[in-house]
Amino acid sequence: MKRATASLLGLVLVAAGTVAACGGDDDSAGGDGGLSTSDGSVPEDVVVIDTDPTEVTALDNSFRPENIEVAAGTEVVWTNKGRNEHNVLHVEGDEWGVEVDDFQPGAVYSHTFDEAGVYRYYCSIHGTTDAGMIGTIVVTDEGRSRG
Amino acid sequence: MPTSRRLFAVLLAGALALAACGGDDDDGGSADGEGAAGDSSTINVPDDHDTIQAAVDAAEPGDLILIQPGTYEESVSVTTDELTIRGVDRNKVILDGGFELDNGIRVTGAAGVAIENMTARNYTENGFFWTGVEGYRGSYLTTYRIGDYGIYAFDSVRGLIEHSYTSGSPDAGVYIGQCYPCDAVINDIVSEHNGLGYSGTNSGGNLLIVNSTFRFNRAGIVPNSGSYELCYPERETTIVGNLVYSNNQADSPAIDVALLGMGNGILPAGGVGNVIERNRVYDHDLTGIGLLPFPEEDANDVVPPASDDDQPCSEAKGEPTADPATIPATVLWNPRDNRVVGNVIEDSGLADIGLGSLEPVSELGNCFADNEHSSTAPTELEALAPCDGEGSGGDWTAGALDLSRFLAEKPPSGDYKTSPVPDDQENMPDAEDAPARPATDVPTDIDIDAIKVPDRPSDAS
Repeated sequence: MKRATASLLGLVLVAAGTVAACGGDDDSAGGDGGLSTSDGSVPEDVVVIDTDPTEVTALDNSFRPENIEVAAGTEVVWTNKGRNEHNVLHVEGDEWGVEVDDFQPGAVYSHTFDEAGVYRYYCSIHGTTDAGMIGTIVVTDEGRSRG
Repeated sequence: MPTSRRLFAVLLAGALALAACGGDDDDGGSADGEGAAGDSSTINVPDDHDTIQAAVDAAEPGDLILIQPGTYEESVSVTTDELTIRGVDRNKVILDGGFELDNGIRVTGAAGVAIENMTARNYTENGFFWTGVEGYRGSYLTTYRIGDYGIYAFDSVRGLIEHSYTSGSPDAGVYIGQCYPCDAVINDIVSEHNGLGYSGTNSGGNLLIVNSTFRFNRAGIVPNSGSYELCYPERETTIVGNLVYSNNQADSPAIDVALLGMGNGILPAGGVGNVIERNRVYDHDLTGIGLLPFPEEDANDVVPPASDDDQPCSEAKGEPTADPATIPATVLWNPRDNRVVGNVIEDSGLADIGLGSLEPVSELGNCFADNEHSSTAPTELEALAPCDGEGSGGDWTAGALDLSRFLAEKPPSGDYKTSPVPDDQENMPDAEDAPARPATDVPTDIDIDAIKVPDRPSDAS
């Protein structure tokens, strides 16, 4: 695990954005919903993770790591290790995420991101789509940012 | 004269331009407590907008949203700075979640929002909730039958919660968490029939809990540490002049930690550097004041070294956690460096003052002095660990606190949806006419030294 630099992020963003921009048809065909964010932004502190599956912990009330980059095809696993109930809701794109009833303390949810893109998500109890308990999954084509 | 008129026009234009920018200028000038009231508009609900949310969405920083009596079945989200959201009658302006909506009013990232003089009930999560803000105030608020916290400030600094009442929350009536320094005050509240009267995980640093009543909860005041939130450990909460009694309430709603803490008045669980002074504490099945560890299973991190105690939360949030392989199955958050002075403690089943851990308690740096009490565990605790001078060197194992008593099975949680409905509560003075007062002047100064041990109330058991 390592912290990506801003410049690397910029390249990833461009790459991801390009892929996503070209991926509208892929979304409808593939059904996995890779989309760039509406403003094309990626948070500064993105942690690049090479492991599959990749773990994200839901604490009270934050996702850790909050912003990650993984390769396409990676399974991301969220575990609620807080004492409060949370949910994981996508901001844009196709359906993925988990509602409160299925994400009580101790619960686990996973989703595999097959398409490159920027996937923003949040807990609607403890955040809005852009503040509070939020997170981002930056999905890149395999090897694109790691060569 | 043309020249004079042109000059006047220029000056007038300049003045108008400044006035037009006045809202933003207030951001910098309102720290003295004058707020943005001079430029504020009043938005009436339901006269101007049918719902509180619509009024909030239409508001500009500095505005007052004034709500007439009624039941408002909505979950309000606030993201605009420096609003004052006020009910004209605390007992008749009611936000009702119908046990389906999550939060009554949630303020996310908006600085200086004040919420005044209203009631929230029947929400599945929180009544009034600030998260990620700088500057907040809750005054004359009532919450009951709330699924998690009644009044809740998370990852927020510079706050004041005052003149408020909370009941029927399984976690805590009032909660301030994940902040250091918090720079916040809880003053003159009543918290009853909750899991915990007060809970504060990983909060502290100029955080005052004063002049308030915590009764008929499972446990009273419970600052606590754990890695399930960031910015651990809890530290430097000042608890002075509170009435804390009869926190053994077997039918109140309660989450697991509230069950674990049941029967204790003031219980810093893994708390560090807290000041507990001049409180009146009585009628508890276990301890009046208990300094106990919190054993955290499946923790996310290890206990940071004491040398990190001064690290601000803003920095701690960016710290990497320990390699999971190095985190023990149970992480022990010990109570250390707490100061327990001048309290009046009576009628405790196990000990008026208790200090316990799974490790030697003599090395934890807590001190005890000038308390009125009849029992401690270990015995002669004030002699063993005085706040001034050297300890007696006596036997720390004599009368040691029996931790197994805390692990005994407790009555299961009651249903928060059927917890007691409170009587009407005191209204905010002049609620109809008082100007907007955004939370730019918080926290207020509290003369801690002037606070005395409160009298025992007439309704005491």
